[in-house]
Amino acid sequence: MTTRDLDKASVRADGLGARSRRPLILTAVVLGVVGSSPLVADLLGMGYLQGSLTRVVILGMAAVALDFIVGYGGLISLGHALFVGVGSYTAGILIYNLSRGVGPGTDQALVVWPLAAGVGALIGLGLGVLALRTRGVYFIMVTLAFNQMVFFLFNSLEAYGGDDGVRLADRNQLGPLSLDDDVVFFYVCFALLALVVVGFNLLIRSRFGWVIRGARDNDRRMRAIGVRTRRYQLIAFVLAAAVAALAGALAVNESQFLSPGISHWTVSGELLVMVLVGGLGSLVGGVIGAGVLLVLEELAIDFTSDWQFYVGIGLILVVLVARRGVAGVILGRHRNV
Amino acid sequence: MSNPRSTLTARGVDKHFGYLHVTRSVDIEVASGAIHALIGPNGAGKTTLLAQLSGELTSDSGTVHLNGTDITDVDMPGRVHLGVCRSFQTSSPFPDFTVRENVLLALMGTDPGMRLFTRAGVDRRRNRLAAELLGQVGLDADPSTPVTELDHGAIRQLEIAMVLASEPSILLLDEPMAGLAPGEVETMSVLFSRLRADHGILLVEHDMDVVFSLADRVTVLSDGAILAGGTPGEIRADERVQALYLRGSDT
Repeated sequence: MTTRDLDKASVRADGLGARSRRPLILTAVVLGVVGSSPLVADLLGMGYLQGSLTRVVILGMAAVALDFIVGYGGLISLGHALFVGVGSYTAGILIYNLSRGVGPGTDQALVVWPLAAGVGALIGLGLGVLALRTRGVYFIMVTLAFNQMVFFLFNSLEAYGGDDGVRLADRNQLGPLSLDDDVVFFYVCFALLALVVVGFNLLIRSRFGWVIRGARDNDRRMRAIGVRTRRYQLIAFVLAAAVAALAGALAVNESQFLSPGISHWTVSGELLVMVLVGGLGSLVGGVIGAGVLLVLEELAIDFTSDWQFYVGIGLILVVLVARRGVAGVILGRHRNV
Repeated sequence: MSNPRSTLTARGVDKHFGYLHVTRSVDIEVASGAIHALIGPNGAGKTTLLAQLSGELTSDSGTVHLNGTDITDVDMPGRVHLGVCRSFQTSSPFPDFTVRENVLLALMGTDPGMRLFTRAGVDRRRNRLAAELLGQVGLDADPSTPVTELDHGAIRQLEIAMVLASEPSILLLDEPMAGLAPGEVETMSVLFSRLRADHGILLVEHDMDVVFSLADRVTVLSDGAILAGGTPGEIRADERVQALYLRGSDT
């Protein structure tokens, strides 16, 4: 190897090569579009879409976290909604009891939301330790089983309406901001989504990210290099669980309705579909997928009640024609790494 | 860099897969300064033995020592940190990464700390190390080539660079020359004789010309047990080994 080659190598190592710039541009564009969507909707006189847009942001956040473990970690989880549910119930129970005079601080977002993420992380740690003893199809089945256990646990909480759920009187409080204002609430959620997207983008480019991507492709080789991969995968799983739980806390604030439905395993499936449609292994694809699915639902529901049938056809096309989803089509061969 | 003198010793290691007795009470020693070739027909248990030495498989019985320390219960990553590193029979670089990044990944193994948010692949010292390793194995492809675009010979060279990245004192190489062109085999042989000076090398190999020209010591494995051990000259003259390979060529 000549010194010239060496210099070339370090130059490429220093700057962001062309290889990695386009995904960042796509990420910025998607966040820009989502961030400006309430204004656009308002201008077009479609302000009634505000709730859907907030749901895109919240579900997109959960989908980004899912893409992190599925697309980069190779851990196909069908239990992601479990953690969304954990966040929902953590936040929802606190909000619900507030009106009955339980403890100070339970109305504060800065207390409730981190708490929801923390409970999600803890449960993610416990379940992750067990689930990561398995691989492949078994991992899918174990996460699915956990998902259903938690779903039925929530169903049995008669104090919170059992399978009917309960309506919540208020949203959380966040300093001087009025979260009851739908647009303000949207931008709070959006700011958190941007943080999550930036955070995961940093993660996949770090040593940590390289290790989980390496372990996804060849776990045995990674261990032969000297890395105890399971530790890394567990941390990735816990981070994804925490973000999903945060999304759950936001979701229950958005709908002001606490219900076990949000933790049903089909929601895990829908999140996985969002990741696939948006682009597996692209992170921001989770947001694109959430947008595509929710907007399709919103539009199609006026024409047909069988909209899910058409989403199904679309999904088959994505898997057959565009393996890496919308993001993959836009980026071509450029991978988000 | 690596320990001046290192010795990996296995005593009476055994492995069953169900009813299959794959390795039977094998004793073997790999010491720096020597290339120890492990030969035997397909299914003799060579790869299983290598997995037991590397810590990938736990042995049913027997012990493994490194420089007198019992490492029988140390797992594969732990043994890499102690200086025992293996290569794989099938080429398996990380497809998502370039040539240079594959070596950088291999360098991460013995580098502590997860560094969750620090960008990987930009550290100058590690990049220089990676370039040196690629130079050491004689891989002259552009380091920013995606690894999926390399030809087979270059990938085998990369595999060796990745093994060397953890600065091992003991190398366990599972058929590193499989599928190489004659010229490439020659290059690889020169590399191994050079590495012999400060590494102990266990070489699983099918090419008998390579084994007899390169090895200081040869162990013949048959049906999981050691059939014969000695210098290449002794092994070449051994009638049981000749019979084994004649029998092998019939089937």
